[in-house]
Amino acid sequence: MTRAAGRSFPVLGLVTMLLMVGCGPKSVQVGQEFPVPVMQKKDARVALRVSAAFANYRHSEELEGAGRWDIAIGQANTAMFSQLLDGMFTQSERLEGEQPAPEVDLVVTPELVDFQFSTPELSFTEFYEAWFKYQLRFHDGQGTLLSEWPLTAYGRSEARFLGGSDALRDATEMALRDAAAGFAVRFARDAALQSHVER
Amino acid sequence: MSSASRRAIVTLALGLALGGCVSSKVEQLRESPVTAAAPGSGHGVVVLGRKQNVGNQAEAGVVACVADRLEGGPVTVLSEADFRNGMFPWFEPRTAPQDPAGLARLLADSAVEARVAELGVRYLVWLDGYTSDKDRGGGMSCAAGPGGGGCLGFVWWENQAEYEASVWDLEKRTAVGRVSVDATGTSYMPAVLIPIPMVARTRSAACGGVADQLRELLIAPE
Repeated sequence: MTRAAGRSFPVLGLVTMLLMVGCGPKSVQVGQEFPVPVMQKKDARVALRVSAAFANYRHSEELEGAGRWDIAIGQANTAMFSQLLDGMFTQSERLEGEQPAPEVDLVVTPELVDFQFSTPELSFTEFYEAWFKYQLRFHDGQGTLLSEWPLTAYGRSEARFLGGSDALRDATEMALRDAAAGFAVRFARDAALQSHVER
Repeated sequence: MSSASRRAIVTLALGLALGGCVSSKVEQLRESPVTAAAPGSGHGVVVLGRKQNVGNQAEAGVVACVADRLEGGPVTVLSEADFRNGMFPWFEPRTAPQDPAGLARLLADSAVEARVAELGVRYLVWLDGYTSDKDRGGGMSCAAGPGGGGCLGFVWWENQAEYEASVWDLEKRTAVGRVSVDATGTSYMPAVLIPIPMVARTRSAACGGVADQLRELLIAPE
């Protein structure tokens, strides 16, 4: 009895550990690699101004029937905008906080207004989905507001090919790519910004 | 191995070997002729799933299946991911051209045109459609006890796979043609002790039908 009990303790411990892992939050690390955009670069010096709140944004939410989810978004969001501006302009840099930038032509400040996601358990579909809503502000180097617009983005991923965390990561990355596409299109149609960077 | 286990393995293998019934209707429409690939070189082709329709989109597995079956001979296939990354952000759901006129507008940008040439893609295949459950019926009950267990009953279900592929010529900026497949299959699962699934491979039949017709459309007669 003693020997059998002694042998069963490690097994019980392992089972308990596995059960505890199953109950913990599902962690999603969103990738930070985005393709270089294919476009003619505008000859302008542009800066991306990101706040600490934007760069470190994490979304944590308990979903009924789908457990707790913890999604690290800030670094991926910052990487997406950085790489997008690198591809759109001949010179781009990153500003943190409120530091002035009189030498640059254009300062782009993204604000993440909302992030939402959905799992198959919630939507009764086969998809994981992610939505972003941004508010984008464009200033000149002196701090004058040139333009401002909202940007929404959506991405989804099939649940059947990937596990939950991987599928939600994939959906979030798709939404970030959609944000980049939306930014490129909207920027090209903004007459005030076009005339400012082409001066 | 006990005789019961052997019997279970044999019936499972039999079930896998027996497929359900699939019937397919395939149509091809050629809108403009294709030019033969130069000797020693091939036609670069990419198969993309249409993602503008939020409700139902061609499944990633079907897009990959069509691409795999197209590869070979004069057809060389670039993966969907490599093409979308290489053309970023112009083939994302919100920016992808909806028709050949939109494609011509996109390719008017010299940077985009140069990237297409660099990727070596001549033909773009847009795949749209999905596989859905149409109907199901029957019933089955299973029970287990100290002396063993088993199932008794019969269930069936019907799947429909409807896909349409549109082919665009990136060099001429025109539509080459369209292929559509409508495959319907009924799967059965009788159970006398052990359930034996006889699954109709509807999606696979649709994939094969689309790929075969696309090869015919893309390979110019010598």
